[in-house]
Amino acid sequence: MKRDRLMKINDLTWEIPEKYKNCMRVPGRMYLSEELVDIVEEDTYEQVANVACLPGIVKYSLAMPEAHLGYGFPIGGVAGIDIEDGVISPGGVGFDINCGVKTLKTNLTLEDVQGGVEELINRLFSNIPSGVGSESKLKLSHDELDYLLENGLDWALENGYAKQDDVIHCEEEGCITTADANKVSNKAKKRGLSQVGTLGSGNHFLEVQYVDEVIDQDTAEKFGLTKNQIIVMIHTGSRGFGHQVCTDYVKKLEKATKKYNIDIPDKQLACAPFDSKEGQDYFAAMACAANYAWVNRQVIASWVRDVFHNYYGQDTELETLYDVAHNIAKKETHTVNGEKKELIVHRKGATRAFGPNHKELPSSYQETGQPVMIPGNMGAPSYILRGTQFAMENTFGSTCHGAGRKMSRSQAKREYWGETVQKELSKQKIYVKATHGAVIAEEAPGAYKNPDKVVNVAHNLGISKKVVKLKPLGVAKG
Amino acid sequence: MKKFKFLEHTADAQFIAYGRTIEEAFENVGLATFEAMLNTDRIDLEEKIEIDLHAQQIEELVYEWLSELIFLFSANNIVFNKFDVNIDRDEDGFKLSGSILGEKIDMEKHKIHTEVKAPTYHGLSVKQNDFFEIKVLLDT
Repeated sequence: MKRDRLMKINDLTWEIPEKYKNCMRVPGRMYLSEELVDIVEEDTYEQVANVACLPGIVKYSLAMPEAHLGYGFPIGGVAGIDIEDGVISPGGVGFDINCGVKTLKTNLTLEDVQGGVEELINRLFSNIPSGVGSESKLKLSHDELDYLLENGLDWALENGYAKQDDVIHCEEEGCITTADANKVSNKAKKRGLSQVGTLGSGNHFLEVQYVDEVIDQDTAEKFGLTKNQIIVMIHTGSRGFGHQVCTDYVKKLEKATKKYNIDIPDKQLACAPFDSKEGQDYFAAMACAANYAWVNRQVIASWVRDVFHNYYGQDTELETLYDVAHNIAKKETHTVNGEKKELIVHRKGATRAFGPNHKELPSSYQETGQPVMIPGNMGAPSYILRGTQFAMENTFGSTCHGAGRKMSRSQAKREYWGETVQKELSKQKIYVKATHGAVIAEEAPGAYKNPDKVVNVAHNLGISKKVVKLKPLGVAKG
Repeated sequence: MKKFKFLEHTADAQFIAYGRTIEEAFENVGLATFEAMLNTDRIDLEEKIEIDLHAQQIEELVYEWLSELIFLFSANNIVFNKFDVNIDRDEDGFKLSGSILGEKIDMEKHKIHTEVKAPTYHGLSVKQNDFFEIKVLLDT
């Protein structure tokens, strides 16, 4: 599909008309600036149109400002699907179920850490297992893993890895209660056993940042954020456990697609009616992976606290600002054509951005809307934004989750040399520690889109509003 | 004959594996999958695992094969570079049996740069002209 088939609604909103494909049940809607429209791969538009063909989809097949090519759904894809007569699709969640971000705010300032960032990152790197093949310091039994899968952050609370405050400041309070460990294969459990509390690799990271600019003073105060404050961002997901859950259920739901005679334009959109056995089984297994990811980030956060306490003293505070999922499907109530409807909202490479007064938010965020964390890259700023009423009305309470790559990993390795990237970043006073140079080359800042351009679309459109801008000081990567 | 060729892909790893026989093409799918992660020349053959898989269609068998390789790598932390398979056709579809050889990941020796998370059906194809070609996109 070419750009000229897109209908411009306004400077930041583009529509793929329902008549573009026979199977489309709703139009596609993409939130992009003129510049981003040109960057997005043509096949991404096609994927937005394909998602619009799913049974039960309401209003629009949506694409957030970082939209890029995925499998089945695009990355940045959001779909609200009626739970009564619609479907659930693993392609609308992705392989890394509940990949997401946890942000910790500290009582340290830039002045407190100056001169010590390299040592701090080295300590974090050696205390938090990172990289492919790294194994967890936890030794869980099969029964304990099942308990963790069904109870999420409550497991972390009961085992000393979390405080009540961590649980409250986590999307869904860190547990989707419909999780059922019996719906997960032994293969997934085997992959999951040794990886609780591991960072993984690729674009996953642990970053120490500082608040460079306060954009919305009032909300920043309510979030407990001030200029020059030290922040820690943890970006990881459900590791091999979630990957295997998705792998298993793509196969199962592919069979279900045929069984229920569902016509889909792409095999990777395999799906089943939400209320069918296959649909409910996937939902229960996906919930296990979502719970696993919340525990994974929390266990890492607990070890981050240990490192900070040992380095900066026991009175150092690291409180959870919020923990949000990027890849998930959740039961939510939204207003559709003036009526409240229960939907299964798929977010793939998109973040929940609930606005003020939503009953699912903790009391601390009732007035402001939820914190939304959008990581940049090793050399570029990250942002904390807040959810809005506009997002509730237009995007099922969703916004973008990052900027996305613009260069393949192999091209990045041809164009960049890890040690050179490391030196360039160190000139900007950013220290990077990774398992080896090729990891840094693949993740070089130049391989990613400029996060400012993506975040500005979200902000100017109003699907989330900027609160503070963060700059990186040091990064640990797998 | 070339064993495989990597294609440019923004976020993931895509390749075409070749073979004079369907078995050779499957073996090269295995090799390319591990080459996406690390330099497979550095893998010694210390552990051997037997494999038996079944699928109704040949594309599904590719997905099963990749799922199994990624599972064995992720659950046991073993990387592989020798694949020896046999594929038979029966009334239910296709049966793959054989063995794969490799060794436990050594972070210093293997320097793994890309984690392969999962196989995908996206653009997955098996073609036969003068030789077999299997196209695969891995989620990384």
